[in-house]
Amino acid sequence: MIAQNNIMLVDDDEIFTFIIKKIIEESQLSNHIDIFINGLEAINFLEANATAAEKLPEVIFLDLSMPVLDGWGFLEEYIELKPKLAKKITLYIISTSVSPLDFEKAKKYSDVTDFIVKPMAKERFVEIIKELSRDKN
Amino acid sequence: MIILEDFTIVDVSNAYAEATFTKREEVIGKNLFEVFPDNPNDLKADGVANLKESLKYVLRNKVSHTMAIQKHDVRRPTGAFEEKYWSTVNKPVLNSQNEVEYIIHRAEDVTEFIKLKQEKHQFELVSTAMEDRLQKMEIEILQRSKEIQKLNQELDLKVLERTKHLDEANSIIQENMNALTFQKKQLEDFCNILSHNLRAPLVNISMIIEMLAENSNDIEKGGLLDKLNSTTRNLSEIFNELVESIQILQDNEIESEELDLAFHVQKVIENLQIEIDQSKALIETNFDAVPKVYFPNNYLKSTLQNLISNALKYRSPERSPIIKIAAERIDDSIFISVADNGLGLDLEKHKDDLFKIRKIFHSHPEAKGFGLFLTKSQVESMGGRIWMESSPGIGSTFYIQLINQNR
Repeated sequence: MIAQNNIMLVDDDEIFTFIIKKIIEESQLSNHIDIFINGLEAINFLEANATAAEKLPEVIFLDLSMPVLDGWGFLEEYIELKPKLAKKITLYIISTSVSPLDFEKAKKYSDVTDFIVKPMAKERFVEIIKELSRDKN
Repeated sequence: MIILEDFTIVDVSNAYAEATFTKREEVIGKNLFEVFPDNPNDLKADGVANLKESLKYVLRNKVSHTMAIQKHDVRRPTGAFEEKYWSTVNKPVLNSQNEVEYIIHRAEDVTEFIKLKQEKHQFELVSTAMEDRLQKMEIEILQRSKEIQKLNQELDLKVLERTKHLDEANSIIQENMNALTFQKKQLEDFCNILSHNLRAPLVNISMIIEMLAENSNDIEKGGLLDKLNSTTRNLSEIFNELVESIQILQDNEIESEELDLAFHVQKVIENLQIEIDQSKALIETNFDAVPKVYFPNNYLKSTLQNLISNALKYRSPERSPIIKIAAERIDDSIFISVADNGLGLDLEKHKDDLFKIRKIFHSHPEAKGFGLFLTKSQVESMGGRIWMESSPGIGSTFYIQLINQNR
């Protein structure tokens, strides 16, 4: 079964996005993944498709360290944009950071469901996607 | 009267014995204060205490001591005390080892004089004596006030000295605080590097290996191995850069030398000739005011190389790059500036990250974000500073301050 879950991955790390893409293809948990290499490109996409629910993601996986607009910058813009979005979106930070400062900072954003420290186990990923499908039904 | 250092009476003159209602043979060998105790009926009696003080002073300092006129009543053989005033001098006798062997205690009975004065009899005599005393007292008071003045001056000096010491201590504490803040900042930078720059490729490697283990398709395996290869290469590059920057922080031996700015800029221009030609860049230099600086040769080369190649790399697509390099001297420092008309940066957003390792601000294929971190490490290790002014769409100017340039 291929679930109708759109996934947005915002990460400039080519290798990591490649791996996640592979996992998704193999697990058949989603039929669509949008990858953006910085926060600005991701925000532009959300803004452009704010009213098109079928194009908006169910879940965003957000990296912190990126050029142009980093994860924190994305979060600020996302909060502004959120009321205009036609869909409820779940957001996870997914970062290599192990800094307690980053953990504390992330806690201040109620929109962040969880802070996942890379490497992300395949099982954890599958679990998150399955949970989304359950919520939907 | 002669006494020992434990106040035992050794001998006494007849006159003394007579004045004190004692007999010579009765007092020899006895303790001075046993023979001459305070009058128990005089609550203010301080004869014993003051005499003891004077004797101790003599023992301690090995010099004579003259007591002020002292009331010290004397016991008559009947047991009743008689009011007596004494003018006393205690003088040490030293042996060959410079130790006090005896104290000679001479006490003049001035009771009558004092009584005369007290009773206001024989007015003339008293007034003359009083006048004399008064004069002496005046002289003494004058002398005392001089002493007090001197003490005050000494105190003032001591307070000043203390304040100076405190100021010095404070500035040392401040210096240490600054060094600590700087080290804390460096530690944070390194934590950040470990967290973002070293963990990221390690994480990727572990995930690729996991996929390799699960995958049986040879073609896919080949693709994964390619990824593994490039990630490993990336990791070792970052690692080498990190080691290089740590070496700079630890290198206290590095020597500054006199370097010609125009010459070194020319070298960098030659290195970057291809990019300069391709971008049609114009590089203007002005080192008329400050032709030479003192700095480690390698640091100057790498600093100029980084700043000029950054200016070329982040050029505006809308115009040919114009890069202006100049130097200026202010007091003991030389300020080098590298100004471009490139993309510019929003400093409000990026100023904290500007000089971090691998922090990049433009989606540029060649952006690696290492140069500025290295340059900052080099400049700061020599006590200097680096900072930047920038406007998005207009351009950026980097400034470097080199210190201790007056040699």
